[in-house]
Amino acid sequence: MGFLDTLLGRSKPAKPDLDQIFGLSSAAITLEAATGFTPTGRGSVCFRAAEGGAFARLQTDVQQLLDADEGPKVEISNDAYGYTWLLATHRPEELPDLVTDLHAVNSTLEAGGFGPHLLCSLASFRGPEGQRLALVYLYKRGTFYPFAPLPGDRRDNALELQVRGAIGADLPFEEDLGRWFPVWGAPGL
Amino acid sequence: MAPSRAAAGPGLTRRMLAAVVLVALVYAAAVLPAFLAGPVWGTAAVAAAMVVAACSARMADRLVLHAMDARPVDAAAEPELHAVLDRLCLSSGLPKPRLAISSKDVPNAFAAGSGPGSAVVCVTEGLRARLGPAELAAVLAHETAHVANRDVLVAAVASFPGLVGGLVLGWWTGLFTGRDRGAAGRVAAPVLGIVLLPLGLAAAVLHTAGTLAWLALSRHRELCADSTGALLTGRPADLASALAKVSDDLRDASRDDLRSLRPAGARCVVAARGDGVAGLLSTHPTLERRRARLADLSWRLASGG
Repeated sequence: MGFLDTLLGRSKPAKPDLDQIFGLSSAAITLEAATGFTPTGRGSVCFRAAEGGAFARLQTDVQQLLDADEGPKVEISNDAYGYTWLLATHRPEELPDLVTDLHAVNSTLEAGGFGPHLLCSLASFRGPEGQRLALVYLYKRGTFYPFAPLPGDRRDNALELQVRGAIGADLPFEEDLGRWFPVWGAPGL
Repeated sequence: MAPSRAAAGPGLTRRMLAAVVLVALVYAAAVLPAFLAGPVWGTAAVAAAMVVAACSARMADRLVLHAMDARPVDAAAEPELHAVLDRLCLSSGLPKPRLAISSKDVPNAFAAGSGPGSAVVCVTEGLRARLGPAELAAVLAHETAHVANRDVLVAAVASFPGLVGGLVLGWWTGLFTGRDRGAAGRVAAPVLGIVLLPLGLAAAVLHTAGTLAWLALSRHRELCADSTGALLTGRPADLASALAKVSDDLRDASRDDLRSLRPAGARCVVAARGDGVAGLLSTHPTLERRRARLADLSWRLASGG
C-alpha cells in the first residue's frame, strides 16, 4: 500500500490472478506421484454472502450454471460464522471439471463485483491411508496452501510441509505460513 | 468491467485530504522557527517531530493495552473469535493481527499497533456478551480496517502537535499559578512567564489548532474504517446494528465504566462519551452520520452498483 493510500485511508485490493486455479489439475498429478494422494472429486468455494438482492441473484445464477451439466447437484451450506459454502461433486477422475467449476464460481462472483467477499476455494484429496488433505486457493493472494486436518481439531503440519515440498514448484504457494489459515469443517474435505 | 466499490467515496477523500493538509499546516507552523534558520534545519525539525510522534505511538500502544487490562489470547483459548478474524484476513489478504481480550464490562473494541505487522485488535468482555456473532464480525472488520489503513500511526502523528502544545501551555500557565516553590521562585516564575508570553501564546494556538485538526481527521478515518469494514463483510447492516447497540449501552453505562474506557479513548469503535459532545470536539462522527453512510452502502450492495 502506498504512502498516499495510507494518508487517505484507502486500501487498494491487489489484482488477483484467477487463472492460477487451473494449475491444480497438473499439480494433482505431481502430488499423486510424489505422495500417493488422489483427488476425491469434491471441492468447495467459500464466500461471505453480501446483503441485498444483487448478491442473491448472482448466487442463484452460479448455482444454475454449475447444475447445468449432468451429475450431482451443487450443495449449498452455511457455516457458524455466516459464510456460505458451495460444494461441487464430480467423479474422482474428473478433477479438471471440478477445477473448471471452482473457476466459474470465482469468476462469476468477481465479475459481479463481489471478489472481495470470496474467502477461498479448495479441492480435497485422500491419502493412501485415508488421510484428509485439501489444497486451498486464496483468491485475494492468488496463492495455494495445504490444509491437513487430524481428528480433534489438530493439523498434520508435517504432511502439509511435505505437500509443499512435493508440489511447491507447480503452484504459486503461499510463502507466509501465518496465512495457512485452518478451514475446519469445510464441506467436501 | 466489474463494478469496484471503493470504500471511500470522492467526497470523503476530498475532506480527508483537507484534514491531512490541516495537520500538515499545524506541523509547518510548529517548525516555522526552525525553517527561519534554514531549510535543512526546518526539514530536520519536521522529521524529528514525526519520529518522536511515531515512537510515542509505540509507547501509547503498550500503555493502552495495559490500562485496558487486555491479555493476548491464542487460537486454543478463543477458537471462535480467532475463526472470525481468520476469515476476515482470508478475504482481505491482510496479515492476521494479534487478538486480545480486555476484561472490562463496557462494550467496545479498539486496535493498537502502528502497522499491519505489529497490530493488536482488542475486544472487551462486555462486547462479546452483548453482540451476536455477525455483529462481532462487523466490529472486528471495522478494527481490521483501522489496522489496514494504519490509523493508529496516523492518529499519533496527527495528534502529536496538539499534545505538545497542550503540555507547553500547561507548563507556562503553571508559572503563574504554581504554589510549590520558594520565595525567590514565586517572584521569578511570573517574570519568566511574562518574558515567555510569545511562547505561551504560540503553545495555545498550537494546542487548539492541532487538536481541532486531529479531531477532524479522526472523524474521517472512522467513516473510512466503517466503509472498509462493511465492504469486507458485505454486511453494512450488521455494523450499523452493532454500533447502535454499543452506543445504547454506553449511554446507560455508569461514569466509572466510561472512565475505564478513557485510555483507549479515540481508538474505540464507538466514542466513550456517547453523543453528548458532537461536532467539532468529537473523535467520532455521530451515530446518525455513520448509520446514514452504512445505509447508503447497503443500498449500493443491494442494487449491485
